[in-house]
Amino acid sequence: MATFEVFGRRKWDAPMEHVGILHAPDAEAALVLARETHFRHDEGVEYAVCPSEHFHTQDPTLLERQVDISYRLQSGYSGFRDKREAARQAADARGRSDLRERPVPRRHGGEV
Amino acid sequence: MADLALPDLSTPRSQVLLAIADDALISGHRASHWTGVAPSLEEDLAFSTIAQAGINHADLWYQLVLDGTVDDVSAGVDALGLGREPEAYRHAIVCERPPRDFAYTLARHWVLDRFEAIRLASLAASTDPEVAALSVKLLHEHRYHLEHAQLWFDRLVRGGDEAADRLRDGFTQVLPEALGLFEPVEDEDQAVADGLLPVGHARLRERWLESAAPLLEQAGLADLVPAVDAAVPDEAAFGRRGCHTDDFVVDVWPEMTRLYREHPGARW
Amino acid sequence: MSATSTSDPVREEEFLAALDAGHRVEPFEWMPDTYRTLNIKFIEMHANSEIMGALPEREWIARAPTLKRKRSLAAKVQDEVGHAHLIYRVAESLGRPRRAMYEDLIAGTGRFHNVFHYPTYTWGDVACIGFLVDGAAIVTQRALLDTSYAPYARVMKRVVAEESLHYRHGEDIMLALAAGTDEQFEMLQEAVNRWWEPIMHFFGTAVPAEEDPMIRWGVKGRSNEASRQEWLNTYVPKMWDMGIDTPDPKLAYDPDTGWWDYTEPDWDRLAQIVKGEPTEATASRLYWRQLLHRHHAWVHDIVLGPEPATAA
Repeated sequence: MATFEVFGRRKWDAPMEHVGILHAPDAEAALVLARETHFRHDEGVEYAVCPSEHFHTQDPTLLERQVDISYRLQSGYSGFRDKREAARQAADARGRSDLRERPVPRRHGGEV
Repeated sequence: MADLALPDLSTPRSQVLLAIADDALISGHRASHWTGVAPSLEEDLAFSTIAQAGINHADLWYQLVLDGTVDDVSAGVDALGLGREPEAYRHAIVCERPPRDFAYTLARHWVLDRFEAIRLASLAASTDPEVAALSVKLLHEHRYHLEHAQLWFDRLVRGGDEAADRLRDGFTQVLPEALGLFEPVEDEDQAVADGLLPVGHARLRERWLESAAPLLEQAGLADLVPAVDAAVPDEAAFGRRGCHTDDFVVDVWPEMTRLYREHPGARW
Repeated sequence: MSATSTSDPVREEEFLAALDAGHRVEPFEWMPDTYRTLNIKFIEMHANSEIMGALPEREWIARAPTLKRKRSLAAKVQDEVGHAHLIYRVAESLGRPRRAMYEDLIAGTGRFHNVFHYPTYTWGDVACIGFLVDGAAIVTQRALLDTSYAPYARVMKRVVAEESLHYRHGEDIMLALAAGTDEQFEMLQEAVNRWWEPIMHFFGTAVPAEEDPMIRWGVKGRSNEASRQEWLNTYVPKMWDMGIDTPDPKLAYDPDTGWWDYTEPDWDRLAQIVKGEPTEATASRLYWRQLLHRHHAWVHDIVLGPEPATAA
């Protein structure tokens, strides 16, 4: 008997998530048994199993952060209203304000 | 940056902090070489983080050098990081060496990060509370660097004759030059007496040797362990006093600082 | 691994009908050879482009004008490599090993997008790549959220989420130059002039959706022209707003049709860029990678494990 880790996908576009374990003699049996062990309430659209002995867990403290890494995140960028205004004023000073008068789509500059 | 009044960089405090910051910046700059060209995509991502950490940590140390003397902290940081003449940089020469091959890069990574962890651990007891606090923070982040360095150290040692030979070549180049890390900055005695730098660089060398030697010996590299009293080779000496090789003066420094220097006072 | 596919016109028709009905294909399902081949071609080119796109920007990590830009550019390029890592995996799930794709790319036989064949000259190029070229990639990648191959769509969700950070990163650099000194402004305007045609090329010719095999087989969900128009909608007003002119005198938005008119780019030049002799920039980037790759043959088995990765 061995322990298997069970992973399932809730929706076709969702990532595989860990949903639990089960005991089974081998992977083939684990695949059959996982259905009613973990997905009997329609919890997913796809699942997979992996022997627990091949499932390695990292010490979670390795992910703890003490140094600010917001430069890697969207939150690290701000103040765009002011920055755009500064660029407009610079454009005016360079005599380039006429570019702003050209027709553009009504809802332009769609943010990503 | 004429209008930017930087603090006195000749004080023992400034010199100590610049040594730490410059080590981080220049080794981070060199680590960024592997971005997009590392031997695997996974390693590419790992080395980029190591490069970013170097740049980021340098920024944080430069902020302590500024010590609140300038209003525009970012401009002050850049004046320190990118605005000094080559002879004003205080990093050890081993940091400025090109990445050479991946084995050399890994050997240097292993040496530098073990050294940095030991220096940070001692700085955690600094009498300067900001220095102590930052050291504790960065020490935490260094754990990943140490684990990453040890990971490849172990695998290259066991990775067959060619890998082991190349790692040996890497250490043969890096270990003698690494002794330059332990040279004192100007007036370091004063910084030690003040408790800013609780353990001087010379004593850090003993600690580093104690921690590194057994691992090198187990890896069959005992013959490369520097003697307790080995001198720093001439070509890697006095980085902490601003002597640098062409690897910095001709290679790193002009490329790293040109854009900044060409547009004085510009904002980017 | 995937089921063996054979040429079977009836099954193929059923497969296409299922795609039309919105079916998402998983790696373990039967799929026609054409579907597999087209997806590998498209996805491999996408992943290659992430890598080759990292190289021009990477050159500027060493030269960035501030420490903040240095680290955020490093982080941004790192993300591009991370995207390559994710996207190569999708092609692997269709049976093409990552090592093979990687080695083909280095050998110069792998294809990648036109915009990554060009040299960079100034920090203005970094702004243009970060905002306008990346913006073009964002537009086309968002259209891939609906792609029919499920692993690709899942990966694109993650990639698109990270791209919104890159959009900010690019806009921030662009605005700083636009609001900067005259020299900085010129640096930006010149770079926009340089990048204009490559970006127009990037979206491809205005081939009608019904004639595009990538659309018929559910790889792409949107026509080249629709993507180009969306990019123009978003990025041209942004540039004009910051005083940056666009180099095409014919470029104009028609409020009545809701459509942009523009000068047709030189398509022969595009063909030359992507199919002809490598540009000098590409040749030197690839030469250098070949050199590093050869020099590190000894470490490949150590960092990747001895067996070529296989799809699961």
